[in-house]
Amino acid sequence: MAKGAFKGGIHPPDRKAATAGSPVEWMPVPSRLVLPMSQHLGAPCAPIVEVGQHVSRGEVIGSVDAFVSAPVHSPVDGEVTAIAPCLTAAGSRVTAVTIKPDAEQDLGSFLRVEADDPKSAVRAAGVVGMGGATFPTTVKLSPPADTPVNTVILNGCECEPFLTCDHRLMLETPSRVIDGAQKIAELIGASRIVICVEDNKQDAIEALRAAAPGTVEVRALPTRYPQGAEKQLIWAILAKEVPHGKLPAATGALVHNVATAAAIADAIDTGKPLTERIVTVTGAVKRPGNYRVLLGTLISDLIEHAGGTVGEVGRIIAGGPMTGPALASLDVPVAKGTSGIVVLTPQEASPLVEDDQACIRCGRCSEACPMFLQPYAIGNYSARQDWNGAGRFNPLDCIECGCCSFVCPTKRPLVQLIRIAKAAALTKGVKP
Amino acid sequence: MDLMLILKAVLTLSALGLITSAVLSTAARRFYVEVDPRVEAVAAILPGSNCGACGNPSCFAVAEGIVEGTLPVNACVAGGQSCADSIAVLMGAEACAVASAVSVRACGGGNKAERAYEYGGVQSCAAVARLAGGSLVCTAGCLGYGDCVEACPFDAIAMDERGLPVIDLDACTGCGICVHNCPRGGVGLLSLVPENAPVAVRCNAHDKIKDRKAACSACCIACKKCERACPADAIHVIDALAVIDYEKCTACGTCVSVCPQNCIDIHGRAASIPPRAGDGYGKNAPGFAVQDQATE
Repeated sequence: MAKGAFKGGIHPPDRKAATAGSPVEWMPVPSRLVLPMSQHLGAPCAPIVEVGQHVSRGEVIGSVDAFVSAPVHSPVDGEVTAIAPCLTAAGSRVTAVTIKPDAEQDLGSFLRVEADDPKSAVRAAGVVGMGGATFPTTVKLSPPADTPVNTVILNGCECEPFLTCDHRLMLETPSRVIDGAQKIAELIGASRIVICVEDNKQDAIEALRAAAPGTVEVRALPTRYPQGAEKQLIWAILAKEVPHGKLPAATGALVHNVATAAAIADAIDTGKPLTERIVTVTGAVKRPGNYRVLLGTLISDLIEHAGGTVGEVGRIIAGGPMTGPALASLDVPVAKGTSGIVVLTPQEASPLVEDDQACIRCGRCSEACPMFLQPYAIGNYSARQDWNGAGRFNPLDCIECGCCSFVCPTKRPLVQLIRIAKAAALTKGVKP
Repeated sequence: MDLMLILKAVLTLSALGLITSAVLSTAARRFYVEVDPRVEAVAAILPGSNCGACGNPSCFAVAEGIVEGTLPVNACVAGGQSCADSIAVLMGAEACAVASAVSVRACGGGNKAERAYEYGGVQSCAAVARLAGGSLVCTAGCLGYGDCVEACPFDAIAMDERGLPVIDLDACTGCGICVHNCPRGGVGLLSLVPENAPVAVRCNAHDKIKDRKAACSACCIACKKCERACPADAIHVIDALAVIDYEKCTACGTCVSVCPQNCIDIHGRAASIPPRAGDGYGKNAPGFAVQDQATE
C-alpha cells in the first residue's frame, strides 16, 4: 500500500463550503458560563473556588494532582454563582462551576500561568487534545524513556464533514501552529515535523507553506474520511502500523491537533491558559461561521449568537457529524473538545432506529473499516450480549470513526453496538 | 450376484464390530469413573437453569459440591426452601432455612415518566443508559427496554403496556440476575426483598421533590402520610423517599391506602392482601381492602 493511502474509509459529502470562508470572530461574553470540572480524559478536577468568590480571567478554578488530568481556568473576570452537577455535551453528569461575568471585561489580559519549564507551563495552562479526544497534552509530551519519538505529526486534516475551525486557524494564524509544532519537537527531542492537511484546503496548505521554515514539512493528503484519525495519519506519513494495544509513540511518532499546537505555543510563549477555542457553528443556523468562544458558554447562547436555528431542526450535534454525540439538551457548555455545533434538518438527520434491522452480511462495513475489523461480527455478537464472542473480533481496536454505520445498507447502529461491546470487554464479568 | 462378495463384506463388518466392542467393553471397565449416585439425584432436584446466582458455574457443579460437602444443602438460592428441604432429606442433613427473596421494581413511571430526549438506537437499557444518563428526565427510573426480561433465566419478567417490567412472583426465584443486568440495579431500581414482602415503594428517586415531580407523575413526593399512618412504625421517609422495614411490616395495607401518588403498591404473597392483585395499581387494585388491625 502506498504512503498516504490507508485501507478503507469513506467519502461523505463534506459540507464545509458554508463556513470555510468565514473568518473567526469573537462571540461576545455571555451572561453565564458553566465550566465542567472534567473537560478532559482522566481524573476530574475538584473545584478550588467557593460560591460568591470573585475570580479573574485565567485564574485556576479546578485542579487535581493526578498525572492524567488538566486544570480548568476561569475564562472571565466574574463571580462564582454556583457549584453543581451539570450535563456535558458528551452526556455525562459532572460537577461544574457557574460564573457570572463582570460587566467590564478585558479579554486581552489574563493571569499568566506560573511554571518553571515549558512542559509544566503546558500542564498548568490546562492544554488538552483539541481535536475532540481531550487527552491531556502533558501526558502525550512525556513518552516513556524506552520509546524515542522522532517525528511530530500535526493533524490539520479536519476530515469530519461540516467542520472548518482548524481550517480557519491554519489559514489565519499559520505561524502560531508552526511555532507550536516546533515547541513540541523541542520538548520531546524529535527531529522531523510534518503538518498534514487534506487537499481540499489548498489555501491553508499555501498559508502554512509560506510561513513554514525549511525544517517543517507541510503535506497535502488525499481527502478521505477518517484521514485525520491518529493511526491512519501515522500510516499515511510513516507507513507504520500502531501495534495492537500499544500507544502511537511505539511507531516513533506523536500526533497533535493543530489547535492543540497553537494552544501549546500560547501557553509557553505568553503563559496563556486555555480559556477559549474556535467553534464551527453550521448547518441550519442563520449565520453559520467560526466563532472564538469562551469555554463554558452554553450551546443555546452560542446558537442564539449565530442567529438561531432555521426551519425545523432534526438533531443538533456537538463536534463533527461522524463521531459527535447528538445533544440531549442545549443547556450544555462548550468544553475544550467542542470543535463544532452542527444543526441538522430532519431530512439530514439519520432516522431513529426503533426496531433492530437485521444484518444482511454484505460485508460493506468490513470494506469501509480503516482498522481492518469486521464491524458486523462485533455488532451481531454485541446485539445478543455475547461478550466473549464479540471479544474475539477485537472491539477494543475500534476507533469509533463511524464508517461502518455510514455505509451499512440496513442502517444498523454498528458503532453503538461496538461501543457497548468495548465497555463490556473493559469491565469483563458483565454477567454475574 | 457374487455370493462371495456379500459374504466377505458381512464377515469383515462383523469382525470389525466384534473387535471394537471388545475394546470398548474393556475400556469401560478399565477406565470406569465412580460417580456418586447422589450427585445425579441432587442435580435432578436443583432447578437446572444454570443461572449462576450462587456463584457456581452450573447446577451440576453445585450438586457435586453438596455431595462432597463443600457446599451447604441450601446453596441454591433460586431453588428456594422446597429445593433445600428435598436435598436435606436426600443427604440426611439437617434442614436449614433459605433466605428466600424475590425481585422488586422500585419504579412506577413507565409511560408517566417524562422523556429527556427522543432515542433511536440499540434497543437495550444498557445502551440508552450510556447516553446522557438515560432517556428519562428521572435519573433513577426504569428505562423500559427490558434488559431484565432478556436476562431472567426463569422467564419471570415481562414488559406490560405501561412500559414497565412486571415480575411474576410465582416464577421469580430471587436469583438476582435481573438486578445485576439492570443498568440502574446498582442504585436500587431492581432489588431483592424478602419473599413474603407484602408491599413495595414504586419509586427510587433521591433528587429534589420539585425536580422529580417535573420528571414523573408517579413519584414518591415524600409527604410522609404513610409514615404517620403506619400502625407498625414500619415505613419511614428516609432521604426524601419512603422506605419499608419488612421486619416490622404487618401487611395491613394502610400505607397503600393513604398514598396520594399510588406509589406504594401491593407486592403480593401476603396473607391479608389478595396475592398478585396487580402491579402498579396501589389502592385501586381489585379486591384491595385495608386489614383491620383490631380484629387480629
